[in-house]
Order: sequence, then C-alpha cells, then structure tokens
Amino acid sequence: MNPPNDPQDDDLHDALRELGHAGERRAPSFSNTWRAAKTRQGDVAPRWRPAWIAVAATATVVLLAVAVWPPKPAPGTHAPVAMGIARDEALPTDFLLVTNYDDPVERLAGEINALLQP
Amino acid sequence: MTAQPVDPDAIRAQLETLHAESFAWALVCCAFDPTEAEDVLHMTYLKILDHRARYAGRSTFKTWLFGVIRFTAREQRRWAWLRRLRRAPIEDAGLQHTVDASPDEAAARGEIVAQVQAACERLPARQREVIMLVFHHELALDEAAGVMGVSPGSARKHYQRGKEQLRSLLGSRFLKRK
Repeated sequence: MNPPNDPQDDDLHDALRELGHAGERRAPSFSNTWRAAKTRQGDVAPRWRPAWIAVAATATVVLLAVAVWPPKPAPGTHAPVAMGIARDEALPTDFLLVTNYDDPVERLAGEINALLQP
Repeated sequence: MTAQPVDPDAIRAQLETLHAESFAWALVCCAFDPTEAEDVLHMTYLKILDHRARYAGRSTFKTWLFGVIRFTAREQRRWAWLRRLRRAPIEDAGLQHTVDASPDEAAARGEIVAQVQAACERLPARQREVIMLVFHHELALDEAAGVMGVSPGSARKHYQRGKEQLRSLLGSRFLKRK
C-alpha cells in the first residue's frame, strides 16, 4: 500500500511535493558533482578516518590517565622515621610507606625525609 | 551474499537520472542546509566510485542510493567539525547552483515552500525523513523503512506521528488554502 493514496492526505501531499520540487530545482548540475567526485577518486583522505579515530582515542585515554592517576613517588620513598616525625608519633609505629602528596602529613614527611638524607 | 558486478556506465546513468531527486533527499537528511547537502551528494558519488558503496541488487537502485545518502549525511554531520578544519577550497570549486528560471514563479511558490520547510524542520529527523520519502519521493512505507534502516512497523509509527505533527504545525487554514 502506498499511504499517500489516502485522499485525506491530499493537502499534505501537495505541500510536501512542492517542498521537494523546490529542493530539486536547487540541485547542482550532475556533471559538476560527478566530475568533482571523480577528481577526488582515490584520494587517501577518507581512508585515513580510522587512523584519525585511533589517534583521537589514544590521546583521550592518555589525557584521562594523567588526570585520574597523577604520578606519585614510588612506595617507600620516605624513611619510616620521617613519617613518624611528621605524624608526631612515638617511634616505632606502623608507618604508611605510600606517599600521597595530597595528604599534608605525607607531604611534610617528604620534606623531612629530604632533610634527613645525607 | 556477494555483490553482483554492475556496469559503471549503467550506474552513472541511473545516478544522473536520480540526481535532482537525490539532492532533494540529501537536503532533507541535512535539515535543508544546501551546502551540506552538496557535500553529502559529492561524498556519496565518491563512495560509489571508490566501491565503498556497492549496489548488490537486493532492493531498487533508488532505495539503495537513498540509503547511502542518508548514511553519508549522518556520517558527515558526526564529523563536520573535523571536516571544517580539513576542507580544501577545491571541494567547493566545481559546484554551481541552478537558479529558478522565472523569479515570479519562485516568488509565488516561496511562501508555501518556506512555511512547509519551517514546519518540516521542527519535526524529529525520522518523522521528517519518512514523510518526505513517502509523500515526495513516492516510496512505499516498506521501501522508506529500508532507506532509513528501521522496521516497517517503526516507519509506520514515525509516518503517522509525523503527519499529525505536521498538520498541527501547518494549521488547518494553511492546508485548506492549499
């Protein structure tokens, strides 16, 4: 069944056909469009699209990785003694060896550790 | 299923026959932006020349071509920002618009076309597409569903809703006057 055969739709049919014909009248000439396409035939640019996607995806992953996991000093960088001094705790105690520079105590431990280095 | 070998000259002849209609369909797929529609048609022909789009004879040529145009339009819209950066001036060089022969005729039609186009632009994309495929391009709903890559039931639903919405947007006075 072809729905526009419904007489109730005649008004819409006329209006939309008018719009469609207006679009057709604006069409560029076929020979120009075809020639332009032939000129670009074999152009490598469209085939590079997957490479562009790969580069963009890799860059996004790297940026996210850097944002989410900022580089930290290796665990155990600071001496347990420095951690204890920074925490103002009696030694010996259960020292946290993983440095987190967002933690003021650990940051201070890092600075004390640097001072204690020979 | 393997694609049937198709004579390139025959393909070219069919494209030429359908060229104006293809441009009108590309306009619908590009929300009536003529520059974008030209680009889409250009890229569609390029895909056909490069054999990235092959006609396998599973549907009519027109249905297949309109499907390729729609897919290309989607693709182009998705990557428009990147294309704008890479656009070479030569792409625009060969394309020239054909202008209406009679300004009086254009003026007489202008008001109707502008109103209908404005109403169509406010429809959701799928409703606009199915409406134009059925009413202007005279495809059956099954064929329109094939072009749009949706089920016939879904196409029918978009068609009905699109008609209702278009009537309410255009208003009964306009449609009676037509």
